[in-house]
Amino acid sequence: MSAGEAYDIRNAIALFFVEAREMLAMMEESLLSLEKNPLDAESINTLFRSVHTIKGSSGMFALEAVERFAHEAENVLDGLRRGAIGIDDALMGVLLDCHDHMARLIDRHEMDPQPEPDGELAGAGRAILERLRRYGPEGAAAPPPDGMERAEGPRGVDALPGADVVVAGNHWHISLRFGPDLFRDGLDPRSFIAYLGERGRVSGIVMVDDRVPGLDAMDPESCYLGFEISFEGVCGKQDIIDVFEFAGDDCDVRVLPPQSRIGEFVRFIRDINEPPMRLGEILVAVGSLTEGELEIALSLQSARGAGRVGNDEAPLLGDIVVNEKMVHRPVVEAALVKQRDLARTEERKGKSLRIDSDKLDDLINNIGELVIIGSTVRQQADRHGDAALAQSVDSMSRLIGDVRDRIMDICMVPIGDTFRRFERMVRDLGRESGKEIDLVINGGDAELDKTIIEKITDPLMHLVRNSIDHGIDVPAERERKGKPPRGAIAITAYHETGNFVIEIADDGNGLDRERIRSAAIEKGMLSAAQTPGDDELFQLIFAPGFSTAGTVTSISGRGVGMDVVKKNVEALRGSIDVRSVDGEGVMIRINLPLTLAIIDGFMVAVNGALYIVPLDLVREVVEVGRGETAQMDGANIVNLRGEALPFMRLREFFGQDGGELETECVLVVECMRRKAGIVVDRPVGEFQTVIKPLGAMFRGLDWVSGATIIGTGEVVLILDVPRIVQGDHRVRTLAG
Amino acid sequence: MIGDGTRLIITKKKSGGGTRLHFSGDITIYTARKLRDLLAGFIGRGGPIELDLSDVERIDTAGLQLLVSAKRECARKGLACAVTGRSREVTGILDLLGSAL
Repeated sequence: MSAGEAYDIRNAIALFFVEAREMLAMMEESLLSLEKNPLDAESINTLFRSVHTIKGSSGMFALEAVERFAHEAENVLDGLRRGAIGIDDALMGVLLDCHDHMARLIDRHEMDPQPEPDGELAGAGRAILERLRRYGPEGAAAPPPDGMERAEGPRGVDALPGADVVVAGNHWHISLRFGPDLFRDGLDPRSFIAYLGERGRVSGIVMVDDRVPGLDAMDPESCYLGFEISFEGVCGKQDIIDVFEFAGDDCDVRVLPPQSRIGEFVRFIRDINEPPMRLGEILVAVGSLTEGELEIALSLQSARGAGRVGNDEAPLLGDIVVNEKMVHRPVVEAALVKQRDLARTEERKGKSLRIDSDKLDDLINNIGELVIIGSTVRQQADRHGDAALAQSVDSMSRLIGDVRDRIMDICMVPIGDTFRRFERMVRDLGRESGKEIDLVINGGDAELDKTIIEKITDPLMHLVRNSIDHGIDVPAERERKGKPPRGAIAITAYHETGNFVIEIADDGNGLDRERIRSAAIEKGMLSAAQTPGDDELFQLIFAPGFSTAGTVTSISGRGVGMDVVKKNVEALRGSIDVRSVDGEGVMIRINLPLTLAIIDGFMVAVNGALYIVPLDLVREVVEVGRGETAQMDGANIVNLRGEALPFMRLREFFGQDGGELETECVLVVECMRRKAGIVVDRPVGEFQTVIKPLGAMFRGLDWVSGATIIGTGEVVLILDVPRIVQGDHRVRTLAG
Repeated sequence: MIGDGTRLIITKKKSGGGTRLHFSGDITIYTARKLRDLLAGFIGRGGPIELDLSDVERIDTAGLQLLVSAKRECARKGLACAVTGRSREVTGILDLLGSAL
């Protein structure tokens, strides 16, 4: 094989893995959705298509084990699609296990492309297939959705030739005859039929108005109507009957399941006792019978009818024979076949493009360099003083800014996709521990840089696990405490003044302060005399090795989780807060600063050195005379138009000598809704530049969030303003 | 001719030897009885009938049934009866319930 061909196949295989995983994700999502709405036809279709696609593509790439597995699953899902079986707890479990197993097979094949799985994996697969087969077409234990029976009846009709032919149509046939008092009882067929349409798809419907008399004889408040309906939906016979339950005696419902035999239609026609030709035409019009099938049905019906001599209602044999020879009159006037478009899932795929992330990184680097050189050009142009040049440089800078913004935007991904992955975990863990927990996601549209999301996912998962494991009780216990039996975990994400905030809240028991205190004292983190406030106390749970869990479960409790969470968050220069209300729940808030690689900065000078402050945090720059400052509770404050603004001096922060200056330059910054002032020697101006990460040597400098190289080649440090402001205790407590 | 006390206004026009009835408002269980009486009267006079439903704001199944009955009455008497103009409400219920009018 030539080098070119080898490359293509590798590419294609790589693409297979990406797409197979997407299909698996779709499969899992549909399953979880079906668990909440078992009759959702669209989820069933998506489920079927995802498995079908996996089967096809794995076959193409010779992943035989996956193909075989998907094939069996597809059989069962086909039964589900046709309404022959319904989805219950057990089947849901088997299908989720199928999903997990296929994921494992695919993972394994990616690492080690051997056609057959070995040992443990093969055994696990066989076990799942065993359970799966029980639901397949051959499986005797296929649980029909509750109440689905074949219409019982005398063997007579069935014995006739043609009676056992299964009709070609693939849907339910529902026949409704409403009673005269329906309207008087305040009901309307419209609501029932509309509701039916929500449970599935009404593919054909005809109103049977044959019994409606002329105006003179009719009572406007009586109901003389019936309906013949062909219906696609995933449900059982009882589910359909239940739709009309509210009508009680005012409605006679007859239901024929999909793939009934002609004999059953005959029984139905006989049972309804209406002119069979007319009824037959309607059945064809709604699509429940083909014309050929109707002919068979009618001839069978007449064969039966001939035996009932003396029954006035029974059609005469002669009539039927004559009628049958007639060409079937099209029932144009009375029949309207509804066409409703199923939302195509393809639309959801939308318009998007797969991009090699390496190419994206290169592009980001390029734009970074472009920004720096752009700033340099600007400075040089300024010195030149040429008006035309200045204008061109202005336009150029604006364009660079636009390109920069658009590229950064490409890297942003809605965080909701990540949150949704937790649904499966919440479901499984909940079940394992016997708890009922709902996961609520708010702000899933909020976007965050992809790399940050990847780093924050594990910590978030751990926090959610903790809530499930230690925060929320089992339903019985919750009810005892006067709470609803289902617990809830809410994940919320939003942007706020330069930060991306993620909150995880549960409605469990809250943190046990006493437990934390005593555990801390025991581990020597706290002395018995200290009475820390909530903030400090709760931060202790992030200490390494700290755990107050009574029981160590497979999930958490070993005390190795929370400190790793905090470390990961801090590695992203973020912070983590804990709030708790006894008996009501815990809320953990993670703040991630949105320092983009390219920054709009404000340059300042302190003691001869240049520093940069993120521009979006700067509110204003004021000059303050010496007499205008004061001290309050040990903190410096200045009167900013009536507001007491606490401030700190960078020179003091750096431990440098300041003189007492006549006027000081105060940078007013705001982050996390708090304002503070930072005193610098002098402001230099706006400056746009690229953040370069600092090397390991600088990791201890937590007041610096990065550095940059300016046009002159000088290295300028970027101040981590929130950290500085927070670190200055006096400023912090005064700012609130 | 105006229906009184109910939210239904029927306007009668002579239309080439026949009668055109324009309905505005509700054709529902609440107006059904009144409507039945009015329609029976019009149809009794003979001549082709046109039912203009383009301004029907509300119609329920009982109303639809009544219109079906009116058409049937015309058929019985050998009179032409046509529905000209269907408001969105009318086409909505016809589609939903699988009826042609």
